Amino acid sequence: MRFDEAGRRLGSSLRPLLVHKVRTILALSGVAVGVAAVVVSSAIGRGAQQEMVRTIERMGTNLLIVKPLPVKRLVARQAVSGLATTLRIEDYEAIAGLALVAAAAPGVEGNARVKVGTIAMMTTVRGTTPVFPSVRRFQIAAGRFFDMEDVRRSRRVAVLGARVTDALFEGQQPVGQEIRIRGVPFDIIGVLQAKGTTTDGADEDNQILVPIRTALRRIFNTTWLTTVYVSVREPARMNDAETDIQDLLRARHQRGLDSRTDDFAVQNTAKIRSVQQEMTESLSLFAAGLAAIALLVGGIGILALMLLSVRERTSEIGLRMAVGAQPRDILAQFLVEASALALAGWTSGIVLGGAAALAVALGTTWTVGVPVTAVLASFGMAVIIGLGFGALPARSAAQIPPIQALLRT
Amino acid sequence: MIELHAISKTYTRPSGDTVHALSDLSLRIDRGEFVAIVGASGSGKSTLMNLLGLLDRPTEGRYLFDGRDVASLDVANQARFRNRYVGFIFQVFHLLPRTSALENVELPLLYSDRASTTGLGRRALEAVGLADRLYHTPSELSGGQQQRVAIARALVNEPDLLLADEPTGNLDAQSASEVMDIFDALNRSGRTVVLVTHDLAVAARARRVVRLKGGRVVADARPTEPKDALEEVQ
Ligand SMILES: Nc1ncnc2c1ncn2[C@@H]1O[C@H](COP(=O)(O)OP(=O)(O)O)[C@@H](O)[C@H]1O
Ligand SMILES: [Mg+2]
Repeated sequence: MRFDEAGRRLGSSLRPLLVHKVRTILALSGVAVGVAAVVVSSAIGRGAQQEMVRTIERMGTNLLIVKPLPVKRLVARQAVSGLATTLRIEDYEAIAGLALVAAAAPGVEGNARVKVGTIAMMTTVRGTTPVFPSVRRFQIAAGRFFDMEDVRRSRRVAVLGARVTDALFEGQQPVGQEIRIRGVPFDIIGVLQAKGTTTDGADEDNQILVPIRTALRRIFNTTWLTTVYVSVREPARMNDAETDIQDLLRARHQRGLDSRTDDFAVQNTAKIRSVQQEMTESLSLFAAGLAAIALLVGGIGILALMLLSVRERTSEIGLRMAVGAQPRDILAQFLVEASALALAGWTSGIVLGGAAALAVALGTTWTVGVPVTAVLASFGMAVIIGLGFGALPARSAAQIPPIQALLRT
Repeated sequence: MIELHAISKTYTRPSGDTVHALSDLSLRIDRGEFVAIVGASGSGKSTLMNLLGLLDRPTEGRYLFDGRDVASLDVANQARFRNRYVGFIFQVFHLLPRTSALENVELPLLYSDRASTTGLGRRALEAVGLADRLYHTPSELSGGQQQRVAIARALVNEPDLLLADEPTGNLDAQSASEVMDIFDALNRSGRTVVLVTHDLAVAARARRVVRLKGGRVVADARPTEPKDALEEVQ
């Protein structure tokens, strides 16, 4: 077939679509919605995936967090916040000594009112040790982190989180200045780089870090810890390390081997992440299911339009056969028409879905990108739908005997 | 050119009873003839035309075209045959709506295996006197003009045989006469024309008149003077 003739055949196949604009748009909108659903769900799925990668980068793949549990029946000692008071510095030291543990950082934290000059704010104050930045993956933006010497001497030095710095200093250099924590003056020796909000909503930039002993004695006046951050040597042995810590603490606290009597809990970030992963996956599976249904509906729309189109144009089919069209020419004509419908639906779906993904990207902090695979896969689906649902009407059109087609009106 | 041997066409109605539209019909038409098929309504004229143009197959009998048995060709080859050798003209024109005269005329070229088709559509429209109506759609043309577009479409692939089933049935006398002038000219330039009509004035312009009745040929006259042929079959 020559090129100009192919063009003319295409034109003569597509003309009916342009004549019946409204019903063409109706028929292709199903495919458009389906394709848009594919694009949006995969864009959001990818956003969630990237968000998880960011979380992993922030938390590390090897972090365990030990916390005291709220204990109501604990009457032996007055519990400040209803938490068990049994997690001690010695526990932290024992945990740090475990074979599977690469590093551990103790933490005692609470909310405190802090003040620089005349500006005051509420923030989280956390006492810890110099390994904290490496265990929790913080970078120093300016100045330095405190060292063991600062800890041993219970020095009143503080390292500020990025948000605290922004709130209190508004672009000025905080290092070397003084900050009052619950009225006690501290020297600011360093500033942390920003990390952003975590997926659970906690703002890790809204904190002030001070040496652990300083925090225990001068700020909170307690002897027990609220957290132990544990960095495990091999990410593959997270669960073993978790068990080791549980065994160690149960032995040290002498509360038996039953987890129901534990006065502490170990958060395994690997487990949390795998739950998140499963949620993301089932979410994208759900979205894929929705998209499949929408595409099916779109296909039925095309089927309906094509059946109508064949029925309306039976005498045209007869005429084309009378002037020499072979069954395969008629088949091709209607397949082209159905595919054009599906492709027009696909194009509008890509535009629609792209716009929706853009809206999500602008409305959230997520980096949303439309994956090329989604574009290609939905293209494939549109073509298959066009050919699949167009085939039946096209075949029936091609098989009408010419004289019967001509006489039908 | 055309030889029909003992052709029968039987239709079975949905009710189950059968209709013998053509029975044991034999007919020979030579190249360059201008034949009018006449007969009462229901006598089998359209059925005959459809068989001649391979729009339908006979129930029995043989159809030789230039010595070739064409009725037994497969569907694709019958389509090719229609495209190359036959031009159809129908009573109801059968033009594609919202489509220009030129595109309507070029329709058979879409299915042709010719090497070049440039200018053929335009030339066919010029031949029927519609050179100034190339881009008019059917709704912008009179009935006579529409039928002339249909004739141009039948001509565009330069077929050997023109089959016209009541081509003037929907036209006023003036348009009918114009259309017949075209058939006349086409036949004079060597084309074989077979047309069905029950208008005697139309039949009078053919060179041979075949009368059908109950699916059989009951009269066949081909004298030198067309008018006499008509009288003879009457
Ligand atoms: N598709 C068909 N099914 C059943 N009967 C038919 C069909 N086509 C034609 N006939 C019958 O065959 C006979 C011849 O019809 P036709 O060739 O159309 O006659 P004409 O064109 O001379 O009026 C008529 O009795 C008609 O009713
Ligand atoms: Mg008839």
